[in-house]
Amino acid sequence: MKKLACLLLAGIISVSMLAGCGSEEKAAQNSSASQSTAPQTAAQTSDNTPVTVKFANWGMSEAATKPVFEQIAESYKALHPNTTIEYVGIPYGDIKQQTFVMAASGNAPDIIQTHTAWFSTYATSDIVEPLDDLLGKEYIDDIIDSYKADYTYNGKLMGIPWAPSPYVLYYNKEIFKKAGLDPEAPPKTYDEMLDMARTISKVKADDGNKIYGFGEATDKLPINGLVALRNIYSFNGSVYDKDSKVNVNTPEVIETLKFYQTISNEGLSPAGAKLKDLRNLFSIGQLGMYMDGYYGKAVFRNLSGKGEAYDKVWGVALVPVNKTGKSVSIGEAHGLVISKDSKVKTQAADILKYITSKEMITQYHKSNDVLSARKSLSADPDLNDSDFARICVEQLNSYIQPLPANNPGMEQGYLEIATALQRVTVGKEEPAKVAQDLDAKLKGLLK
Amino acid sequence: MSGKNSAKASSISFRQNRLLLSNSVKDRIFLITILAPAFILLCFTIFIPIMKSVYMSFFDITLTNIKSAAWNNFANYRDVFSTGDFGTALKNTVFYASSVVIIQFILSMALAMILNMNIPGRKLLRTLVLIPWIVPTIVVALLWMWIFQPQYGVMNHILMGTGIINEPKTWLSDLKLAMPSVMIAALWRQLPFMTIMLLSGMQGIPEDMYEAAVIDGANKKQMFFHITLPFLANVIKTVTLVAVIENFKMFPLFWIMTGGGPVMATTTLAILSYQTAFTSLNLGKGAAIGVLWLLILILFSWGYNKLFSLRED
Repeated sequence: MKKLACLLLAGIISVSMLAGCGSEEKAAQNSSASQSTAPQTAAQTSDNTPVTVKFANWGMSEAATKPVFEQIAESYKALHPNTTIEYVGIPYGDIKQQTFVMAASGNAPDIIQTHTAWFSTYATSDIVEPLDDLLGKEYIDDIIDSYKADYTYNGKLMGIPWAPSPYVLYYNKEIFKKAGLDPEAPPKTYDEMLDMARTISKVKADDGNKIYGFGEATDKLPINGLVALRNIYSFNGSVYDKDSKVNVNTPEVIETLKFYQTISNEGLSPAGAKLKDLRNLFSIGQLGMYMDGYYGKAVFRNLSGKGEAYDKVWGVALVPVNKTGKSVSIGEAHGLVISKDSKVKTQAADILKYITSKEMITQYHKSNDVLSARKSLSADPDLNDSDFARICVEQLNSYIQPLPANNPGMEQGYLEIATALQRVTVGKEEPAKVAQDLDAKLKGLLK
Repeated sequence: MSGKNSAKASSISFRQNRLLLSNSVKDRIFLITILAPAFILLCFTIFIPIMKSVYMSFFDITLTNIKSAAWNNFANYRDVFSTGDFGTALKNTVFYASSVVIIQFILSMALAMILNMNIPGRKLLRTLVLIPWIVPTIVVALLWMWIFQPQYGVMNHILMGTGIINEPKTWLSDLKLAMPSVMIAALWRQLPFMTIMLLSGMQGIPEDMYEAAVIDGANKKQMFFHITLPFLANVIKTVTLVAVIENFKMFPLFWIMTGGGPVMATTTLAILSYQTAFTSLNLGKGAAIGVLWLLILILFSWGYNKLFSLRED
């Protein structure tokens, strides 16, 4: 009897497991079947046919941006009652892997939010749809040239910049005062910046803690390699030479690495810091200067615990001039792409246009200081409503340089650049040798 | 009549056959049936993914062009060995796993012996020692990352306050300190498990063995090496093997605390494999690293079991 009970139980478990797999398979089949029919519905869309556009993003997972996303979906629905934006909220750190896995399993979202540090991986993949025809010449010509280049691969626009941001210089006025510097006179050149950083590093915080003069992120992350391009460019360097061949074994790149080594050796910058460490230190008054995007303002208010009152403590300026004779920065953005497998590309493209429209960007700017990558909005008074915004807009429109051309190995290349920064800062290795090794690595990666 | 007899004979023969079948096959069918659920589960969660990984390791397969996977003449394996990254990661993994297991074993043995003694508050101590084991590894990583934070971490605060160091150390960004820092976090997390296992082994050793040894004039050292250790041999074999495997595949502590840096100082096979598969999205090469890693672990387990079975002989 016991044996029979065991057999029955085992049988039930086995069958239910197999059935489970079967039902999942069936569900998958159903889902793919519905996808294969849905497209036709969408493609043949008459205004009365309901359409759902899936939009994978990390904005819905973050408290600061969730209300904006909800508002976008609601207002778009009000204008287009038959189109529903369905958000697929994925944390920032997981969105790349998850969306690629979703695409590989035939379940790609229609729109995907991406970041500049990994946009190359999307642009060069086979899961993204070129947008030239979907968005039209007029819209594309309105994108700031530098961003247009950043979002192009093999001559085709593979995504659009949303919530773009240049890197600007943030400085702490109270620390400037404490160090005997003029709080209303931020550095104009790299040399001035280094001198000021040295002066600041000599003073201590009220609690006796060290104050760093000028911070650069050098942790081993692709984004830190990307950010280092800002310095490479300012030293007149590049990743590619005039013949579009990888060449970082140049005096300019070596000089950039020496710059990183100097600020590390002299204790001006915290060793191996992440960007978020710099934000923390700046917000608690232990860092005099560093460069970040427009979101710095919201971060400082939050991390300092002082809210808007903390706005008086810091100032913002254009990135100081270095070897190029003018301010140089790079542009970051939350890029938006449309999946190649999407069956509602036309509607997805319309949503991209809508959320980058003046109306929506203005609302996003009011709540989160977001800027626009559209030339036609560069002088818009609503987006230039404060000194802080005007500096960001000026840096964005006049002083950013395109990133290296998109390449399947670019994200790994950024990681290699970050590793090179660690070798000269933490490892104290010779910059010339590091540049030589980096050159060999990048030549292998960026074929 | 003869017809009846013949029917009766065939019925008996059928029943005998059925009995024969029952005796020889029935138990096997029963065994297979009760093993089936576990076997099916293992197939879907372990065997099939492993076979799929081995298969993928021979193909040019990336998440960016998964639809056009092609055989690439062992290029993934050649790629793995073409740079020094795999060697560095293997060296880091072996160093980390062996160091953590050896230190863990020594500390756990000492702690287990203390907890096995008649000391006041023994029961409370046995409960307290379990606390780090209850904390999830990811939380442990975040906790120690903050403890080691150079500007406002408690480690620098204590060491500077007590005059042990003069200026803050960048624990997780220093080429020499990063690996030991992760090892400290790992030891804190893993010590309770090995301690409790060894303690339970010690409690199973018959007390009269020690009494006889005392009568024979054995000292504490002799009792430890000739009674405690031999009696614990099986427990030691199991817990050290589990610890080696757990540390060989350790991912969250490294990923959260150092991300494999600075430079390559804490890049282990787990980190290298993850970076290859999910940063570069090169699933083929990532799978090749995974396959090599699996082979190394299988070889180690085989050698380890062989070593202990020789001792048993």
